[in-house]
Amino acid sequence: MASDDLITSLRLAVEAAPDDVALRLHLADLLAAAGRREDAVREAAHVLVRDPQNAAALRLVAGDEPAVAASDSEPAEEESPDDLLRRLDAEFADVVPPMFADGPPVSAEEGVYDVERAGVGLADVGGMDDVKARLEAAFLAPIRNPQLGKLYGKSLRGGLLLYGPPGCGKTFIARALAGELEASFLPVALADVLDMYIGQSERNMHDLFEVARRNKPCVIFLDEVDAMGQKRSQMRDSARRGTVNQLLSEMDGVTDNNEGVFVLGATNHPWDIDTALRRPGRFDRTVLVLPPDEAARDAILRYHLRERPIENVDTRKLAKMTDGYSGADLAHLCDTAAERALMDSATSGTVRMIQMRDLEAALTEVRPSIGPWLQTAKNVAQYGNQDGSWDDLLAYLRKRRLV
Amino acid sequence: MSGDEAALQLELERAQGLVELRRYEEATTALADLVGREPELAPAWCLLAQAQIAVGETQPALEAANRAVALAPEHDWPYRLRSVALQQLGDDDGSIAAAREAVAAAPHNWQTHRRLAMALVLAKRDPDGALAAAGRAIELAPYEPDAFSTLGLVYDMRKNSDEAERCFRHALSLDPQHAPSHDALARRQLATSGFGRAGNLAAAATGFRDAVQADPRDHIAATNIEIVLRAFIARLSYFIFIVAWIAYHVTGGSAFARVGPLLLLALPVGFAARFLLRLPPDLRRQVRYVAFHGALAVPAILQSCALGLLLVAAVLPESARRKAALAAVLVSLAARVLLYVISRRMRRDHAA
Repeated sequence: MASDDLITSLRLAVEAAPDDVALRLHLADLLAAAGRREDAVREAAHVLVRDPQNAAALRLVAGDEPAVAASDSEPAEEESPDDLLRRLDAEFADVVPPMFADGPPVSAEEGVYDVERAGVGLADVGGMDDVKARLEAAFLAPIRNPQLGKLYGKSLRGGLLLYGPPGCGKTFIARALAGELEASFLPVALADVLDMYIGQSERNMHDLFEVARRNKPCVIFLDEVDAMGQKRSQMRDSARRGTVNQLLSEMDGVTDNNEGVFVLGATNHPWDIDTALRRPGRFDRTVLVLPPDEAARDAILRYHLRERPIENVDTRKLAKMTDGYSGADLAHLCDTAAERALMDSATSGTVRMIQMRDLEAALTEVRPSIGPWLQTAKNVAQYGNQDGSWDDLLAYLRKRRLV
Repeated sequence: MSGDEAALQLELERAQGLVELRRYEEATTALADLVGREPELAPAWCLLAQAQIAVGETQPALEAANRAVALAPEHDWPYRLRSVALQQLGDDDGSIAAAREAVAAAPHNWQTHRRLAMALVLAKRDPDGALAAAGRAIELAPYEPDAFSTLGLVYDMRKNSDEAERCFRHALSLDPQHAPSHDALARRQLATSGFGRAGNLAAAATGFRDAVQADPRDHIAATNIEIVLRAFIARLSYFIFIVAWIAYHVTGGSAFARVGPLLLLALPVGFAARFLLRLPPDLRRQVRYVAFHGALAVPAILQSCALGLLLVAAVLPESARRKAALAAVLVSLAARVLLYVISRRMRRDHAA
């Protein structure tokens, strides 16, 4: 049986790494073996929130034997089937040809940046009709009608900046836009570009655009673009200034043709973006992606509850009650309600469905998380809007009586 | 550099990037993870302390700074962070001592002298020492706006307003987006705006607006704009109250009794016009919106009613005129009381 000291140490470890499912499951096992069933179930419940199909945790909650039998002796290490195949492959390499051919190696650039097919369209975005209409007018219509574009001397290039509070679906919308265009989708995060060696970040940025040009039509999606295109006046590190300069020159397509390359940026902090990036030809169109409207909230709630055991849940009523919640807040709300029903089932020993009362109780715990963002957005819209850049934001804040 | 070291360095760079981007929560999470794996990495502890100070987690920041001091006692950065954390925890002696240790560790670094000057200014101690430290910081980094704004604060402490203003303006000449200098100059304008000096009040509002523009996360400057606006409405209510009071007490059917109060109305009208005309157009639009849509709408409308009553009073017979003047007195008084209540509530909200 595990000592209290070990359990205490494991508890501390779990607190330090709450997402480590294996660690938490180990703690749950030890608690169950120590006869502390209620504590064990609580830990197993946390595991199920993160991994609803975890068989070991399900067994623990159902009151079966501990997931991993507590044993004083170390079990003998068994060779897995994969390991066995690998060993035999190596042993008979000169006699038997390898099972799988890996094909020619991909180029370093293609390997770094994964070009994907988006697989979703704007129809998959629930609600948000205003945003879709703006995207259609500002971005999609000119691209879908290239002849008209030619007639009016409009080139098929350019950038669109999606901005708004965190957790409101900017990334999903970007993917859906790529889907609408039937274009390749090239998602890029800060970590993909930033490199400690001087000059390498700029090179990474150039390579990224090269990959997009080879795969056109292609949508480059720069997530957290404020990190890559931060105001140069805010930077003390000259190496990162070079990255911004490179992004500017790649977007301008000074030396290369950007026809068919569309750049989408997403940011929660548009006020941190270098003003040069918002000039014509770069991110010259902006779309404010707000917290989901009622229809979108309904769709999001249904999405997050679709594979959970629910009973008489009125998502329309919930959608009405969650004004100001982001998509991420709604996901958290569903998780919290599921956790509550699960704990209840484990305590009572009777499995029950997630009910409306669980979601309503979760509403008292989960509050909208976009408050700090709105505070800064208020300052920008009220006092930094000389050129009208933030008119849509100001209109939204006024509509909601936040200014 | 080995692969592991390079990866670690890259992780540090990213964390530093997050701190530079002022994404302190994300930086704190990343750095807590990093120091959990690499507890001997002093720069990571320093960055963690910096991020924690920024989000107001001062006690953990102090602990992180202390870890960094233990790991890299020869460097100045950990001492500077310890000084800031101690200052925020109210330990002025400790803060000044840590700042002096930073200076001893890196006398060539302007930031150590600046930190010492700031520690002395915020503790309101040793003005001469603060002046010397700020001066040394400028000698070492005459291109740094922060050094000049610190010297400005030192001069403020020494009640040398002209020199302070000169320093803040010099900081702005080095960086027109330097929010602390905009803020400091606006505060000075507000402090020197006498009762009827609408121009200073407008200049203060503009300065705070500039500070918010330079740093949208400067919520204090945004709050100060509201304070200026409340001060404007409050002063306007006093003017109207005085004029209404005089109108109520002037009796008789003479031309002076009828026209005098009307002439006196030029005072509040002139004050309001001067304030509004001195504001930049975007701020004027915003003030107009706030005055008639936000929490200040009712007092602003009451003031307008009081003003209207006074105008009407001028054309009424004497008995009715006095009644209208009395109504104006009461309405302007009500507006002032209401403004007081709103101000208290706003202060409480901001404190929370």
